[in-house]
Amino acid sequence: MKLRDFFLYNKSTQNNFSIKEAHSAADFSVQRNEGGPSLSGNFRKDFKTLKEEFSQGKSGDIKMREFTIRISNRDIDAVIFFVDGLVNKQIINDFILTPLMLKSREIDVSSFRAISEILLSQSEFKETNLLGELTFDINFGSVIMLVDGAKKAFSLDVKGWQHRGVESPQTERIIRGPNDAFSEQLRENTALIRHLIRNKSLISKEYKIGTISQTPVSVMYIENIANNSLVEETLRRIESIDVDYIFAAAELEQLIEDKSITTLPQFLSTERPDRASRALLDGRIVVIVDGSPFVLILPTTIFELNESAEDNYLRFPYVNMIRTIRFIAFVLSLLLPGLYIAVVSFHAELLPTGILMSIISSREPVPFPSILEIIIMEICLEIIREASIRVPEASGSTLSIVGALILGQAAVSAGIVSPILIIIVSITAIGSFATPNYYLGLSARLLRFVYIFLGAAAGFLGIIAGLFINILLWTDTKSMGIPMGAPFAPITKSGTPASLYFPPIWKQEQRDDYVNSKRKFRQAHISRKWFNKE
Amino acid sequence: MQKSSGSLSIAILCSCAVLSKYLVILPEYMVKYVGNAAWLDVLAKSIVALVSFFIVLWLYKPFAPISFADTFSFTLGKTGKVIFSYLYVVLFTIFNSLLLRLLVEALSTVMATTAPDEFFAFFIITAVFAAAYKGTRSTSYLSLIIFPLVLITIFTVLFALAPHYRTVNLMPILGISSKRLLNGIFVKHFGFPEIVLLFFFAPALGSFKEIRKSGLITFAIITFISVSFTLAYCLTIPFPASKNFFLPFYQMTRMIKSGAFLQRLEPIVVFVWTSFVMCSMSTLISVTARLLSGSFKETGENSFVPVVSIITFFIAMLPESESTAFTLYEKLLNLSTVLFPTIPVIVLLIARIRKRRFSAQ
Repeated sequence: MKLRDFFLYNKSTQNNFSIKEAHSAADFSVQRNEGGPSLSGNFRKDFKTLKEEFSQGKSGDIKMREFTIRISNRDIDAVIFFVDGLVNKQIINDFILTPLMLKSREIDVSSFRAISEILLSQSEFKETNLLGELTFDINFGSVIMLVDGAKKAFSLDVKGWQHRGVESPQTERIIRGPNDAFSEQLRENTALIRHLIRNKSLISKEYKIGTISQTPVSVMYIENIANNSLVEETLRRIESIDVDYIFAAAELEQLIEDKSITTLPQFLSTERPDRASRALLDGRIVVIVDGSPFVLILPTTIFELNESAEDNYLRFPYVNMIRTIRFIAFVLSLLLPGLYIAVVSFHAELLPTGILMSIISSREPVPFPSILEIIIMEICLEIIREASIRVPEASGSTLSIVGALILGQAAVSAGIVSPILIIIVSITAIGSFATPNYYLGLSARLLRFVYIFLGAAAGFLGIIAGLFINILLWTDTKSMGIPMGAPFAPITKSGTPASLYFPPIWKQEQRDDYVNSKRKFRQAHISRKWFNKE
Repeated sequence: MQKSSGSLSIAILCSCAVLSKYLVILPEYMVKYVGNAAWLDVLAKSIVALVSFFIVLWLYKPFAPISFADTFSFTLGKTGKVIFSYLYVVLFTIFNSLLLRLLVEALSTVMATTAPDEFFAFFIITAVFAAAYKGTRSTSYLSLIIFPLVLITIFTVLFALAPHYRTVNLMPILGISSKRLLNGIFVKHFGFPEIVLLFFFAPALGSFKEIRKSGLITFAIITFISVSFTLAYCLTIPFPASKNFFLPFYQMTRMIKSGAFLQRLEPIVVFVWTSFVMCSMSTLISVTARLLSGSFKETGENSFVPVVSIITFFIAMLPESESTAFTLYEKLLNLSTVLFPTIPVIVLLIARIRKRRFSAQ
């Protein structure tokens, strides 16, 4: 923004999407245009074209195999292309080459149609002459076959690359409830969701994002629940992305979010199929990117960022208690160092004389002012945290010892920091670990430094002014058109109590009304029919 | 987000504007006018203000939901609109500036630092500017978060003060004198003139029904909070003692014994209240900027927010001392108590007559 723009009013050119009222009109369908050059039908010419298209000869992993097929007592030239490492060679040998090269000589094959009808037994079999489609298929584990005299090339699905299976979640571990997690495979991930929602209304729209990478992306929603305008807007944003490549959901997230300059995550990311399925059933949209074990749930709110996957598997009194603890943990991780500086520098009267004297005496050998002392400790903490992510597992224990020395008695004995500060920094670190959303935790880590400076500059006034602006910016942020402060700021008719208080499962009758889903209720008014004796 | 409850958001914004002055004005008002009958006075003022509001609302009904500022142009043409808009701009700006100054003085007393007033004012005006620049909707979202916090703080303090309540402090029930009480109710400051903001937010509310609903919610909130707070203050602090008091909330919180740790809670409470006042100031700056933008060719109110904020900051620093600022603030409140409902009634009456003539023609 230029300085001039700051003072002069300009009509906003930014996207100002907001979700419209739900209506049950038929959903639209997005057509993706698959155009581009195509094969000529001349075997020699097309063979050359495909060799160039697939960079055969240049790329060591693109393999080619020429052979002949016996059709109508004639040996017909054929060739297959595939990417070594992406395909299952056993399937190619046993179910493609063997039938075509040997069986075609044993049985009477009279036409090209017999190739697909008798010789090849692949479930996914496609005939096309579009070069773009063939290129995508070969890079996605298909074998491309060209047969002399055939009008189109054959694309046979023989995927067989090495990948991680369904494992336990790494970042969203729970005690009660399912423990399977998404993997890097898009199709496996969609299957995990479909396994939980066995309904024909579950739609999965497929896209390829990235001009070069052609990364498969799936947008999932439940047609009879999700708001049409929300679906349209999500698809519109995804369709309009023009980048060379994306490899993860985190990258796509930044390309479709409403506001980039904010510390707040605008979408929820999860590696749990049950959480994603629950979101779909609540009228939200799930975006899966191939190669990423995290899927995006949109839209979301600040209050949902404080929720954990386990909340739905625990009895409501525990959930309410745990959510309160999490909120306190987040507030502590955000404000505690700033409040410490404010109290020590400006509001010493808050503390009893004994504690105040103890703080003063413990700070006596420390040569730094309070603010420098706390910033040194916070930076040390961040360095240890960052190192712990990258350190090899074998060196983990060494890092723990070094960390304990820095944030421990050794630092106090050396007179670099005061003991009270060790406690403050430790509580802050534990608080940020207790924050269920990784991005929210990062946000607290970043803003903590701002609050330290504000607390040092103007005590509580600085912190209040900072919080005022912080809450203002957070509530002003939108997630797919929904203010992040909803259902509290703005207040919506039915959502407010649920975000502050988690009711028993039989009272969770309504879906969040700010999502404007087509089905307002997720269960009957009396869901426990047995309870009503009449 | 069509399910959002706009009337409540606007009601809370107006309530912030009305209640924000409590921090500084209550003890002085008690001493000067009504004594320990302040709670009765506030209750009566609420009723008088409610009646005035309904009169204005009835006059406004044919024009709903256009902004009150636009009824100026309907009444007196473009020139009239500019004159009346500027009148409100001046009133709101001075009101805001003096409130800022008094708040700054109070905070510097609480923090007991040698930092100049400008230092504190800078922090407040920066936050206020940010909210006003984001617009009324963002400020209303913000106030929806802050207001419950303030409410919880107030009622926690009132609850914790329960052991200090003495009914004898309420006697004599009519305060210093019944004549002064009557005088205080109708003409003296400390009324609810800021309720006029509701008519400036009318387009956001959309319909007459919503405006009425929002008004009633505002009155319910301000009556409940102001009466219970004043009653608690009168019950806690004997009238003669309040002569020497400032910042009632601060003084009341000092009486709470909160244990060894956090032995004196009052700074926390004062700073929570500060956020409340900042909401009020942001709202007034937003409205002022909107009034100014309506009288210029410039269509966006954002252009005026930095200008109004800077002017507010400098006017706040003009009074020589806290007492000068307080005297000015008092006079301004007296004036605005008379101006509301006078200006709306006159403007809307003329507008109605003109409308009837147009209809007859």
